Formats: sequence, structure tokens, C-alpha cells
Amino acid sequence: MVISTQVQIVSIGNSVPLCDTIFTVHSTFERVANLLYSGGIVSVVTEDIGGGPNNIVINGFNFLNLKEAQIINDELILNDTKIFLSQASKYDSMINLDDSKKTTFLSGLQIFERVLVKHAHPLSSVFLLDDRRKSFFITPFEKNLRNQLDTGVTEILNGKLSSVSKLKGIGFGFTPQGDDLISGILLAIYVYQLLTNYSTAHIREEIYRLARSKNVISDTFLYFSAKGEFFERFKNLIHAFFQDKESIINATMQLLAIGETSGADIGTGFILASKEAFKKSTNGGVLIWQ
Amino acid sequence: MAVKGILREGEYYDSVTLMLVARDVLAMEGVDDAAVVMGTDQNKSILETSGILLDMFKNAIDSDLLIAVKAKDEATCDAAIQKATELLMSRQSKTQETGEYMPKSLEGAVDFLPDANMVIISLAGKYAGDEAMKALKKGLHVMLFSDNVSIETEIELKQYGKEHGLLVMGPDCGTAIINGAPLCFANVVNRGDIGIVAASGTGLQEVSAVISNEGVGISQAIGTGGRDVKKDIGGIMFIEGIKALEEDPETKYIAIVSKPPHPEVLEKVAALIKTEIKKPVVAILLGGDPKVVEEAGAIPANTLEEAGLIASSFSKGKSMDEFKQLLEEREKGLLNLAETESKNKTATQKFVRGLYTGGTLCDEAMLISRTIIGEVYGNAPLNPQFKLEDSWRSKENTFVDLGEDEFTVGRPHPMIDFTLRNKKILEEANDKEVAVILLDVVLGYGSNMNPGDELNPIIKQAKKSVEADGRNITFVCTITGTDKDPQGRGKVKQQLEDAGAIIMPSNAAASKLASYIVKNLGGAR
Repeated sequence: MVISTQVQIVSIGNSVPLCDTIFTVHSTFERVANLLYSGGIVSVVTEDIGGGPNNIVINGFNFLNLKEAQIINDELILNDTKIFLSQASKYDSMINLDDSKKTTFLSGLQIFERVLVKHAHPLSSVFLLDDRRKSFFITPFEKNLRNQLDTGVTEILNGKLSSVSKLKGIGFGFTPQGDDLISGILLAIYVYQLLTNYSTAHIREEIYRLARSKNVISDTFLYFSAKGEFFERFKNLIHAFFQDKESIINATMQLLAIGETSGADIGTGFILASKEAFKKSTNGGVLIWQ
Repeated sequence: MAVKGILREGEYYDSVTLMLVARDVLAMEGVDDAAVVMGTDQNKSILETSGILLDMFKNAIDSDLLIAVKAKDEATCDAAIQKATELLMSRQSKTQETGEYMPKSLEGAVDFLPDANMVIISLAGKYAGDEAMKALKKGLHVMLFSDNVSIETEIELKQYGKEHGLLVMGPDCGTAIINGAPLCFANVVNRGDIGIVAASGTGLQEVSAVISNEGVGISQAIGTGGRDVKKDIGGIMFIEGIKALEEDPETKYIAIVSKPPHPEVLEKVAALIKTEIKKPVVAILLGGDPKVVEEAGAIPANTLEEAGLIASSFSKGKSMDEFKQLLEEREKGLLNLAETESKNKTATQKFVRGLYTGGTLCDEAMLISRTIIGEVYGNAPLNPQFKLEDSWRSKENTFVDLGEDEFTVGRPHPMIDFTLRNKKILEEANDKEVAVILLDVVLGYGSNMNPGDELNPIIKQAKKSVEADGRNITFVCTITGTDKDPQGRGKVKQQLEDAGAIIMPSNAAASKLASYIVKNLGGAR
């Protein structure tokens, strides 16, 4: 057993179990390894990925070689490398907003949307924000997929929560685009609650229940989104709304660097749901998810 | 119409990889629709709506990868599925979280790098034309690596480029050197005052490497794509390239490299040289009649090497007589070496097998060999009557261009991946009639990074495998590249010599040596 001085732990998410746990390695990539346990998923990630409620951020470890993982006696053991958890800072996945920040938030959201539309991958769901991007979907399958995403999101934003079933699991990729859109919607509804003091817990729970996925990675992400727990890049983005334009642009680029379209899809769901929620509440209409 | 598919368990790829693999498959002729998606219920529902949900998919779970293809017949479906599988394997890097933002579109890239004035496009041909036009309309020069772009699109792009003073290099242009920067498959060469316009990738590489190895250098090397000098395209960019070099203050001498242009194009090029080009021009039109350009005032070369040497003489301010004398002396050396190599062969050994990765180099080798041993067989022979019935089966004297489609569908180009050629080397060595195996090794960015490491053991193995029969095979190699290339020409030369290969300073010299050996052995036609 090697106590590594080269592998350094940076942070642990507030939802990572600290009791003795044996993990099964679910999947490994260059900068991420997903570990399965009875409570769900813990992701071990590099510092440039950043923190999250269920992330352990470490540097200096080759995730692609990871075969075994466990936590025993306050130590994380990856293969035969021991890392002391007590050295790590805690990543706080919650954000602090209140109703005094609503106007600034909405201004920041506009800048975020503009940057997203400009720079997101053509095959992301950002066509929902800009119709011109629909032409990027070419094959019959892609067009059907695009239409389904469009229909699903439109119906959910008009209050038909059952249409979550039209979005969930849909799309290409490791985490389907539909799931990422739903995550963005969930985070938006939570932020709406913070900015308006209107409780949306029941709506988020309902959406999560309908969206539950057999894809354990997606499901975990949806779970934390429903709880209003943010991963670091998204948290930085929200904070940037209250700084300056440059910060929003930089934070949006960081978000877009997640996966190929995941960051853009989450951002799209967030923007659409935020705009709809605040539009309806401003006009005195029925809040969409009442 | 047929619909087929496969299910792969537990494979994870990012969304764009899956979309792009589906698109690459869709670009195949005869394919109507394609999807590569995870087996979620919703995706299965969309597959059903699209008419490509197979029974085997119905019980698929979220972590299963589904590949579905709709095509004109089952054979096309099978080929498409095979291609999708190979593409996925080649993109095994899977999902990657990147630390920095990477632009996802041309617009994003232009924003990210506002000072860029050129774009290199490598997309499926079906989509490449649109992106190239977008780039041109943004005022960017274009290098179009993609092939399978229609003639109409190529004409449209090049006309637009010509009208707006923009270069359109390609389609199917894999090599260029612009302001000292090697682009795609190109060598690291000295900077200097010789400019090249080439409708041939490895032709450009051979000439630029010879020039650099002579101690002089390249100002610009503009590739046009091989189709540019055909009748339909009319030499649009070849002509614009020559004009650009005439105007370029860094360029003092111009070399033009091509297989024989269409006669109408040749006339236009000659007229241009005669009336508008003041700088000295060297022309290598492989296999073509040099008279037309000679009468226009250009200096014709017989080989790519000669073109490089003539241009180098200009640049050094030396007379051409010097290198001509060197070539004459070398000729004597080649004949002597051929004599030596002929002596250690058995009675059955009399033929050469050329296994080439560069198309133009293969053509040059066949042209040279034709003058010494007559017509040779091949998959892309000079004389159609000598086309191999089966490209995978050589006979008598055969030169194979391994970069042709039948060898490259679904696999990397042989300049990058030597697997196929290594296999063929061993096969050809086993043929009792083979006396010489002729190989090109093309260095530079984009090419195999360890050619010496790969070829050394194969050559040794091939030689050893025939020892028991009392046979000895002569390996003749040409290395296109410089010491500045990432592979290092000197290092590769040493590795191949250690394996017992004979390294020639040019493709022309290598082809001659191989042909002289065959002639001595009675293998000439």
C-alpha cells in the first residue's frame, strides 16, 4: 500500500459518504472516474472539472487505471494508493440568493443566453433558444429527436409535468440531452424559489420522480439538481451573474467545456425554465408549476 | 430498403462522437438514415418513429449502445455498421471533460481567434462545402482536407475564392506550407525563397524536402487538390497560386508540381507563365509533355527530385550543370549497386514489388520504371491494361498505391498506419519471384511518428523468412522528409539501414535502382 505524496486531494463534496464504503468502478475517463455504491454514485475528478455534491477532487492520479476504490478509516484508497480525506476542504454545493438579487440575476441570465447561443455546439439543444440552429439537425433520426426535445420542453414549460417522460433518456451520449435539459430546469426552479421565496420543493420532487433514470450517472445528477445542489462550474456561473459581463462570459465558456453538449444542454434548460417562470410571475399569471 | 443494426453493451461515448459517427455513416452511398444512441426508452421511441427500431433493441437498457442503419440493401447496411464500429473504436477516448473551452463551430472559432486568416476543414464531404463557403464569406482562406466534395461545389468555392482574393486549397488537399507553417501532412523544411504550387500532395512533399535538404528553403507551398488541373475545374487555383507567388515578396523562384494537367489547363498555365510571370519557373508535370511549358519559358524537370534540384540551383545562384553532373555520377553508382544486388538472387527471383503510401510517388516510380523495365502492374497503373484483377494480389512487376480507396475504407491512411503495408511486405517476401521490395517512407506532421521502429523489425523478419530458401530480398527505400521533421530523417535512415535496407536520396533514385536490379535479373517486360 502506497501513501502517495504525488496524489493530492483538493475537496470533497458535501454528499460524499465518509463512512467505510466499498465502491465498484462504474466507468473511467481521462479526468473522471465514477464509483458506484449502495447510495448512488461518487465521482472522483480532477481539479479542472471541479467540485460537486458527490465529487472528490484529486490531482495526480491516472483514472484510466482505476480498478478498485474504497473509503476506510477516513482514507480514500484507489487501487493501492491511500489518500487522507481529512486533508481535503469541503465543497459546499449550495448557493445563497435572496429576493433582492432578482433583477441582477435576470440581467445576468440575458448575457448568459447570448453567449450560450453564440458558442454552444451546433448539435446541442440550444436550438431551443435560437431557431436558426434547427437546421444543424440533418438526418431523419436527428430531426425526430430535435422535435421530441422541442415538444417535451415546450409542454413542461406550459405546466404539463407528465411530459418529463418525453424528455427523459432522449438523445445521444453518455448522459442523454433530455436528462441534462431536465437538470437545468430543476436548477432553475430551485433558483426561482430562492429569488421569490416561493416554495418549489414539491414541483422539483415531482419532476425528479418522473425523470428518474436507470442511467445511474444521469439519475444522480438529476437527484442533486432537484435538491438544489450545484456543481462547481454552474455555481461559479450563477455567482458571475452578480459580478460583471466578463465573468459571465468566462463562466459560460467553462460550462460549455463540460462534455460535448452537456453543459450547453443544462444551460438551455436553466434559461428556458427561468425565463418562463419569471415571465409568468411578472405578468401576474399562474406560476407554471403551481 | 433494408434496416439492420447491432447492440453493444456497456459502451459510453459522448454525444457528439455518437452524432458524428452516425453522420459519417450517413455520408456513405446508399445509406438513408443512421442512428448511434443509448438504449433508453425515449431513444427507442424515436428509433421507432424513424422506422429503424429493430426487434433486438426492444429489450435494450439505458447502458446499451444501439447502432441502427437504414440503407438500400443489406450489404450496404453491413458495410455501414462495420464503419460505425470502426469509427467508434478509433474514438475510444470517449467522453472527456476539458479544462478549457474549445469552440464548437466556425463562428465560435472565429470569435476565439479573431486574427486567424485561414481555416482547415476536415469534415465528411457532404458537409465540407457549406463550411468552406461560410469561411470564405468571412474572408478566410480555406484548406479543404475533405474529399468527396462535388465538382460543382469545388468550382463554386474556387470561383468565389478567385473573385475575392482568397485561396481555396482542395478539396482533397492534404499538404501545404504557408508562411513557414506546415499544414496537415507536411514536412518541416527550411524557410527560403522558393515557392511551390502543387496539385499533388506527396509531390509537394518530395520537392520541398529535396529543396530543404539542399540547404535552401521554401517561402510558400500551395496545394490545390489533384482535381484542380482537370478540365472541369480548369486549373482555377493552380493559376491563382502561381499569381500569388509572383506577387509574394518572399518568393523569388517558382516550382509547379502536378500530374499532367488537362491540355486546356496546360495552355492557360503556359500562357500565364509567358505573359505575366517574371520569376523563374521550374515545372514538373509527371508523365506529361514538357514542351508547352518549356516554350512558355519554364524549365522542365523530368522527376520531382530534379525539380527540387533545379529550383535549389536557382536559389543558390549556381549553374544547373553542377547537379546534372552529380546525377550522372550517381547514375553510374546506381548501375554498379544494381549489379551487386543482382548477384545474390536465386534463379526464380526477378521482379519488383513497390508498396507505396504516396500516390504521386507511386506514379513517379511507375513512370521511371517504365523506361527501364517496361509496363508494371498495379491497382492504379499507368496503362489500364495492366490493372491488377485483384488489388490484393500482385503479379510480376507490381506497384501498389496503398492510399487508394480499396485499402483505406474504414482504416487510417497507410502513411499513418503501417499495419496493412507491413502485412503486404511479408506476403510479397514469400513470393519466390520477388527480388526487390520498394518502399516509400513519408515523414512529417500527420504521418506515422515511428516509421523506423515499425519497419525495422518487419524488414528483418522478411529477410530472415526467405533465408531458408537461399533467397535474398533487396529492400530499397526512399525517405521523403528532413532532419527537422518530428521523426528525424537521419534517425529513420539509420534504423532502416540497420535492418539491411538500401536508402536512396530520392524516389527517383530508388525507383531506378529497383528497376536496374530487375533488368539485370531478366524481369523486364
